[in-house]
Amino acid sequence: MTELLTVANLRTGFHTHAGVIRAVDGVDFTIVKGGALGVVGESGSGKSVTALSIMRLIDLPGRVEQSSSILFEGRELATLEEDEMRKVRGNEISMIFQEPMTSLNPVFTVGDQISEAVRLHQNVGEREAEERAIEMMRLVGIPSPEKRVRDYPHQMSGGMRQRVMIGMALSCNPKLLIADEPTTALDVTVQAQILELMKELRERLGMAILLITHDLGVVAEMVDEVAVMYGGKIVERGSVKETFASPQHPYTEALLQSIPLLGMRYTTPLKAIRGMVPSPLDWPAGCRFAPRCDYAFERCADELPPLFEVGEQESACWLCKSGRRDVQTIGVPS
Amino acid sequence: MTNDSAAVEAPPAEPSDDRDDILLSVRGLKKHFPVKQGLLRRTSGYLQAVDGVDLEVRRGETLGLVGESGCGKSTLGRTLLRLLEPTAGEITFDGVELVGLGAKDLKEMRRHMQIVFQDSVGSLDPRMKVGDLIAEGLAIHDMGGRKERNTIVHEMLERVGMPPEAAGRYPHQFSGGQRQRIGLARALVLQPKLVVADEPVSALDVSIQSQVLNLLVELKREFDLTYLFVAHDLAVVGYISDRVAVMYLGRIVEIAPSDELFRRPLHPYTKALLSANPEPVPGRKSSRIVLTGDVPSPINPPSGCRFRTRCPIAQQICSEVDPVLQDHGLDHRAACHFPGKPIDGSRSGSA
Repeated sequence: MTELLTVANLRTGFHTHAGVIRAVDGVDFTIVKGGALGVVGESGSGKSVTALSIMRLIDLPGRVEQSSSILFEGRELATLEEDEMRKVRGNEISMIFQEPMTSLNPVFTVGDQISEAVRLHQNVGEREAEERAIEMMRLVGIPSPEKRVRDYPHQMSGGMRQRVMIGMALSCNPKLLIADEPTTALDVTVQAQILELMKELRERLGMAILLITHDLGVVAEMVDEVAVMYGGKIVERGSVKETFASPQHPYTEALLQSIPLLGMRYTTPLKAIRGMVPSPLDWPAGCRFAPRCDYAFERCADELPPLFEVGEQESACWLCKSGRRDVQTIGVPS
Repeated sequence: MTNDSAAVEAPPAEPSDDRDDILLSVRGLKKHFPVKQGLLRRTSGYLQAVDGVDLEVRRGETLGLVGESGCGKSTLGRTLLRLLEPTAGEITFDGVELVGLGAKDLKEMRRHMQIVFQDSVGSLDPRMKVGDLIAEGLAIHDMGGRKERNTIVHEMLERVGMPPEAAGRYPHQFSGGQRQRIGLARALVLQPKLVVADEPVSALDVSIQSQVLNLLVELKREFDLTYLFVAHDLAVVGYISDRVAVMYLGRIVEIAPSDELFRRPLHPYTKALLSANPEPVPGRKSSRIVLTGDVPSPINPPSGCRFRTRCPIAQQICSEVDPVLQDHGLDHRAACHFPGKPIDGSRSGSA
């Protein structure tokens, strides 16, 4: 399969008075045409900054470092002129955000906002753009789109607003959709609707998806490949199936064990990861998870482990240097 | 007291008639908020946040209250502590009727019922030191001298897993998980009987969420507590609770022991919630029930069963007759005209 997006050695830092916050600190991954990758991590892991860096939406004092490479269909986005980047953004690569209320402009109708995206990138008239807006709203399952096209964002529910955002993002047939926590602000039954919609549209339109989320459950339902981020780095990646069944990095393992599954009871304590995420101003010298890791030994504190290949998976843990760790699969109650 | 600790380990499968077992009981509770509109701010209608709830919280149990935003779960939690004045209904706490109780008596009762909030930034005064925040309850109830309060504060900090130095610092100097621990210490310092925990882990990262959940379980054992645990996450509520009540548009639609609810969900809304819960187990879900539409407005709820507008198995009767909670054995009650009826594409079995 052909590569659509190849990110290599992505480093994004925020240059503040207190020092450089290395939010993303050397991230590599590839998404093939029509593929789907989930990037999962907790707050401060660098997952959202990774997405914003690809979109070149990092503002000062933030900066994508010179050594970073973001190859999109053979073009280097990291050094692209802003004029050229504007043609890519919202057209070839689109993004949807967690908060559909703040991403939509409250003083324009949703129809105007979708039309605007169409007219910015395609040479069409006002009429045609509005028709396209209605078509997109129908595509994302908004009932009676001819009427709702004149609604203002506040007249819609959270789920409907997220549908509008998805409609807007897809209005120019992007090759890649970046979804940053697309369902985090929604209720579970509405989340289920939006996830189904995104899966269906991906199949129908053949676009690739980069899904950014903290929710391992959403990853399991939406994508086939996963990258787990911790401390600005990818610590593990592989197929969702293998990675969740046999996590090779101790962080992935602990994360999976710390989530209560349906049917688990308080008589079995949850895995608690002790301590907190270290400060991005001052990452630990060795493995960034070492201070919280149950398996850590001397080498972990001194030397940063690279990603080691473990079968089809990759894990940045010294324990994986010479092959697969024997990890118990997650305890699913019968 | 031995009965109480036994109840923590294994909740009774059958409801008990013994009034001593009931710590808090609510009858016909309603909380309506006026909706004001226009220049003269006339009341144009009422938002029926809680609309006719009967509920019993048993001594020593954790009762989970689960539902989506706007279902009234937080309002219910606050109304039954009388942090909000109920529009109608009775609230009996430990044998005392709370509705109509005077300010002085209510203050006395409040010692025994505390609340922990989701928003640890908004609920901790940023200008107060952590030690003073924790001791505030003691000060209000005029308990202990300065020295004694200090000792208690340090004990509480230790019990929630915080260093004693924390007492001299301010809330903003702590992370979300730590602030939630401070909130817990503040709630427990008066040795309450009931703690209402309103989305206490919802704002936390998963690795911190599990720390706080484990702590809640430990503290409950140690302090002989009864919890009302309010949250939107069914897996979390099911994990920590002995019994779970499912709310939809101001009503309880199903209530059962945790295991029983997951094994045999009877209300179609409970089934939909269960199937919508994303789980990090690839391939575990064979099919799912995707509800159409959004939750209707609580200002003008549907006639009959409030869930009928989104219900995949609704019939004529559902729009005409408002279903009441009915007993289905095994301490399990549901308010549905077709309890346990299989839903197409559902993996949930029938009753």
